[in-house]
This record gives sequence, C-alpha cells and structure tokens, in this order.
Amino acid sequence: MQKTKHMKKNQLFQILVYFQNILKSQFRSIKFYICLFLLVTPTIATFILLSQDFEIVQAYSQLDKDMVIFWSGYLAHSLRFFPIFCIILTCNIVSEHFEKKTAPFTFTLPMSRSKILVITVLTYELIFVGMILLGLIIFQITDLFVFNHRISIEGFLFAILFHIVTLNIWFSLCYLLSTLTRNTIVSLSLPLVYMFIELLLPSTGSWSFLSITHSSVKLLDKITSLVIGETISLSQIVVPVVIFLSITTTLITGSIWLFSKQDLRTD
Amino acid sequence: MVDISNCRWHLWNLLLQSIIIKYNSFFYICGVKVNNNTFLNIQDLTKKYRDIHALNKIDLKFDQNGCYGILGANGAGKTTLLLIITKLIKKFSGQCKLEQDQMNYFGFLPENWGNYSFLSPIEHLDLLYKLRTQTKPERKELYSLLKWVGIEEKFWEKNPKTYSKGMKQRLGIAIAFSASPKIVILDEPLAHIDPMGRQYFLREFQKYKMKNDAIIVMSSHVISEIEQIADHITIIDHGEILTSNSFLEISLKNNNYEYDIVSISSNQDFLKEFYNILDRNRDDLKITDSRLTKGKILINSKFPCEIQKYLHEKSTDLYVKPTAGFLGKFYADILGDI
Repeated sequence: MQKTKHMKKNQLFQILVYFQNILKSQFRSIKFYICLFLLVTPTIATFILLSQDFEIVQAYSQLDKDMVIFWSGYLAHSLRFFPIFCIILTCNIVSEHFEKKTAPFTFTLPMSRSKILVITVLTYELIFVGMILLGLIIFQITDLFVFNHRISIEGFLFAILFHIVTLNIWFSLCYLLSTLTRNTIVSLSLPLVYMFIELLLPSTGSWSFLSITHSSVKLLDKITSLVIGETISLSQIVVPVVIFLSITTTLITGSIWLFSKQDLRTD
Repeated sequence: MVDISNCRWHLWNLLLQSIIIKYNSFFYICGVKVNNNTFLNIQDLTKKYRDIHALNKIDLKFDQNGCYGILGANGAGKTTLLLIITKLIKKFSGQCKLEQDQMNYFGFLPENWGNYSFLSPIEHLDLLYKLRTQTKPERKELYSLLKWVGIEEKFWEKNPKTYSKGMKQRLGIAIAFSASPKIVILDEPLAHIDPMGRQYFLREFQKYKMKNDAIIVMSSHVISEIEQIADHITIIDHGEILTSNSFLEISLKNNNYEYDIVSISSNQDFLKEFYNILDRNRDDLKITDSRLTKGKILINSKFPCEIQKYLHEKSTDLYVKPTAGFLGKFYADILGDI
C-alpha cells in the first residue's frame, strides 16, 4: 500500500518536472513573445478602431458597450489573431525533438511515449488557458480605463469557453501535423494556408462546415445571442461545442496512438 | 530411430521456457527469480528498411554484468540494434526484451543527438537526473559529473551552442551517465574526442563498470576501442551476427594464448607488485610465460578465465584481455570468411 503510494508520489514528481521543463522551453523561446504580442493585438485593434467614435461609444448603455466593445470588437478580432498565436506556439510541439535531435533522450526516459505526449498536451492546454485569461485581463483593464466598462462574469466565462473550444481545433491540427510529419515548416505552413483558403469558402451552405473560422463565428453569434438575452435553444451552443471538442479529442488521441507505434530515428 | 521420450522432454522444455520468458515479470513479483542475469534477450529479430534488411533474424543474449562491445562496419546494423534495444524503433519482427534495473532507467548516448537548446548543461543534467530517478540531485554531484567528462567550469552554465564538437560529445557522455544508471548504452561515444580523451574515457568506463557493477553496451567501428574495453564481443555485418561471445573465449577458440593484464587506474607500482605475486604463483595459475612491460603484464596461458577469476579476487583494478592486435586479426579473418 505504502509502496504504491510512494510510486504514485514519484510519478507525480516526474510529471511535474516534465511539465516545468515544457514551460521553461516556452518561456525561453522567441515564439512565446511573438505570441504574447499577438495576444494583445485584438485589444489594440479594438481600441484603435473604436477611438474614432470615442464619444459615441462612451454614451452607449452597458448592453450596447458589451456588444460593440467586447462581442463585436475584442472577440471578433481575437478570432483572427488567436489561431495564429496558437499555430505559432504549437507548430513544433513534437517536431522540435526531431529537428534538434533531442528525441533519443526524451523518448528513452522512464516514461511511456504516450505519457510524455499527454503531459505535453495538458501543459499546452494550461498555457492556452493562461494566455486567454491574460488576454482578457489586459483587455478588461484597458476597457476599464478607456470606456469605464466592465465585462459581466458570464460574458467572461463564455469568452474563455469560446476561445478554448475554437483554439483547440487549431491546436489539434498542428499537433497532428507536428507529430506525424515531424517537420515544423509543414505543421506551421499547412494550417496557415488552410486558414487563408477557408476564408474563401462561402459562410453559408454545406461548404461552410469545412471552415473552422466560419463555424467559430457561428458559435460566437449563438453565444452572443444567449448572453444578451435573446431566446435561443441551449442545444444550438452545446452541439457545436461537443462537435468541436470531439474533433479535437479524436485528432489528439489519434496522433498519440500513431506516434507511440512509430520508429524514432533522428538521422 | 527417433527417441520419443527425448523429443517429449524437449517439447516440455521449450514450452516451459516460453512460459518463463512471457511471464518473467510475474514470476519475479512472486519472488521467484527467473533468469535473473539475463538483461537483454533478443530472439529472431528482423528489421527491414524498405527492401533492405538492417537486421536479419538475429538472436542475442547478454547475461552477465560487464562491457559488451558491438563491432561492425558502417551500415552493419549496430545503430539499428541499439535503437531497438532502447525502444526507439518499434516496428520490427521477433522479440527484444531489455530487463532494466529496479529504478527502471538506463543511460543512452545515441550517435546523432542534440541538447535542449534552452537549457544549460547543468540544467540538462539536473532534468535528466530528476526524470530518471524521481529525486532531486545534489548540485555537487552534477558538477562532479561535468568535471569527470572534462568540461571546464566556465562552460557549465553556458549554452552548449558555443561548444566544440568534442566538448558536446563529452556533454553527451555526461548525460548518458547522469544518475549513475546500471545499464549504459553508447553508440559511437568517442567520436569527435581527441586521442588522449579517448584513452581517458576507455579507462573511466572500465572504472565505472567495476564501481557500479554496471553493464555498458558500446558500439563502434574502431577495433582498438572495443578491444580495450569489452569483455564480450559481438560482431555484426550486413545485419547478421557473425559472432557473439566472451572476448576470452573467442581468443581461446582461435588458439590465441597471449594476454595482457592491465591496470584500470594505470597504477605502475601496483602492477609491479602484482607481477611478483603472479610470478610466484605461475605454476598454480598455469602461466607458461610472463613479462612486465610498460603499463601491462604480458602472459601466456591456456586458462585466461581462471586467471581472470584470480584477478577479481585480488583486485578490481586489474583485468585480463587478449593482446592488442588480436581482435583486429580476428575481425579481418571473420569478415574474410564471408
């Protein structure tokens, strides 16, 4: 009993050490600071655009401010910038080990490959949540100073949920490419090319389902309607969220499963 | 005439063996030590890269502590074999089982490797130590490891990007030996290291093996390196094992009776003192001739294994090996036979 407890404690220590190592690798990389810049870009874009109508916006009611500044302003802009930061941050998540030839050390540690990959995924998820929160906090502080406007708690929570759900799709796509191709250029360029191509797809009709951005916009519209008090069925939000999350889970677990069976040569 | 009872006995034996191999860990947990010394068991292993057989139906068993030298030309299959042992290659047919020590980790230095660019050497060693042993290392221990591989103190906190190839290789050796693993697997570990450094590491690997009762598996295409360090020689060519046996037995089978007794620590006084003891016991040890030269005792005997046993009883600093140059001749002979 005590031995099992001791082993669990040791495993937890191992997980924490690996988790810290991933965080360290992020904080010491240039791409992390590029991502931080992309994180504040929606806030900057929102306030630069609204500054032209500063006095008009000041006179708006709380609900209108919510709509104009937060839902149609910040969240609409972050929908464009956040996927880019997500792609940049995760494009080398596994491929880095092969390009820098650290894979022989990483994948001969006394932990299974799947465990290493699961820890990596969870760490990145935490980084995303942290960055989304940071972005929202920066926005809220700026908003408070400029327009004296506070975002409601439910608005804040829905925004976090929305970002997590949509960013995870991009994350899982990058993860799949990085794991299977082991090439950072491929896992960076393909999602970016896809991002530009999907903008050419029609926003309605069956083809629009192929576009992550269009689907995200639709989800954002539904959440906005719910928050501002319009009567909509909850299933209109739950169903897309479930679809988004199940695609994410399938892609990530599929990548881990395939990777755990591969030969890992670095030459 | 076929002896049915004999056949039946063989069948039972085979069945029992396969059960033991399959449920080895279960028997171990139950307190029954099965095949305790076998740390590597390879059976019928085949690895193909498209149409090329990198390894072709090889069987290999390493079952004693010591240093295992894997020798072969470029492209013989040495690296593939080590990558399979370390579980980096998973797509192969046959069986490969590495019995790890209680802590369940081994040290590995691959031929092609890179360091985590965001970590200094000290941080790198610290990370691997923690992940391997699940405990925090003493800072002193990490410093002594870097000192051991010959990296100057001013480079300890610097990014290895600034290192020369030799220094980087030294760091690789430190990484492989971090947390004192019981099993260390080294693929061409002395590449890029200067001649003096090579000699130093060959001695240090021997010392490490003796001190920690460890197993070192080292591959190289440099015969003299393997000759100096290995107790057991495996020669691979075109994915096939040409020979795998104890170095002393290979020597005996090839009618070579000349051996060197070498001091790991190069202690000349001790060697001289031991030469006198050996000289007094020449008849008991069945040594027909012995000479003391610089750095070693040359002997002629048909019983090197007995001498090896005797040496072990007297000192862990001394070991017996066939004379320099024997392995080169044997290697040329064996390859010439194909």
